[in-house]
Amino acid sequence: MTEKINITLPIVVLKLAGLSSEKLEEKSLLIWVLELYSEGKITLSKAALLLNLKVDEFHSEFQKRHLKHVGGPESIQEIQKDFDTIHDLTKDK
Amino acid sequence: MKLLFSTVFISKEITEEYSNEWREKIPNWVKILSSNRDIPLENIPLSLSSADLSIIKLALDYNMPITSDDRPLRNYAIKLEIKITGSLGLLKLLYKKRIIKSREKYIHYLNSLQEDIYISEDLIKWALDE
Repeated sequence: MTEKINITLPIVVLKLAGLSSEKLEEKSLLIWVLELYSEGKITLSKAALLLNLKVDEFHSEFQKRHLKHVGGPESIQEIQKDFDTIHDLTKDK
Repeated sequence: MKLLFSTVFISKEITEEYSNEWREKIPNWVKILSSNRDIPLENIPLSLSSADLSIIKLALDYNMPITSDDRPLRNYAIKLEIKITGSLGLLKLLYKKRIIKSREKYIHYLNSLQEDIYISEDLIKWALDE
């Protein structure tokens, strides 16, 4: 991740958070990535990569906040296909 | 997974994304594989990492389905006509095959899954439909 953008936040946010501007930047990135993952816009692996964390480290950050993510199949047709795939693979079990 | 499959494969790139502590816990029925072929992929979504792509390549190379609940990975795999499964389908199959023995236990697992993933009412209805 090389390209960066600047955003403007009220100074009061910095004061309330009790963070330095560098730490606030780090925290903002974490919040954004948690949100993107939660909305199902990035994968678990991509989320960890954006934060330079191991996947299990990111997952515990996510769970610590009791967050859920948009995932799995989107429709009945899709879940039925999921089921049929796994069913066909395990016919003899 | 262990109760349904003798072997499950993950890519080397995926294991490298996890901490050593986690890697040490990989059971022996999970095998680490790499794709031997250089498979060109097109229109790769920004939402995926290179480790995600290693799974896609593995599935294409060995003609294997992918198990994932990651929506962007699932959608890209579907575009490439790779077969896909996820936790909800797996759970229902485990229940249908009576590996999950009681409906009570099955509902308990469904509730646990819902703590991690948003599942629509329609899909829950599907899951509970006998």
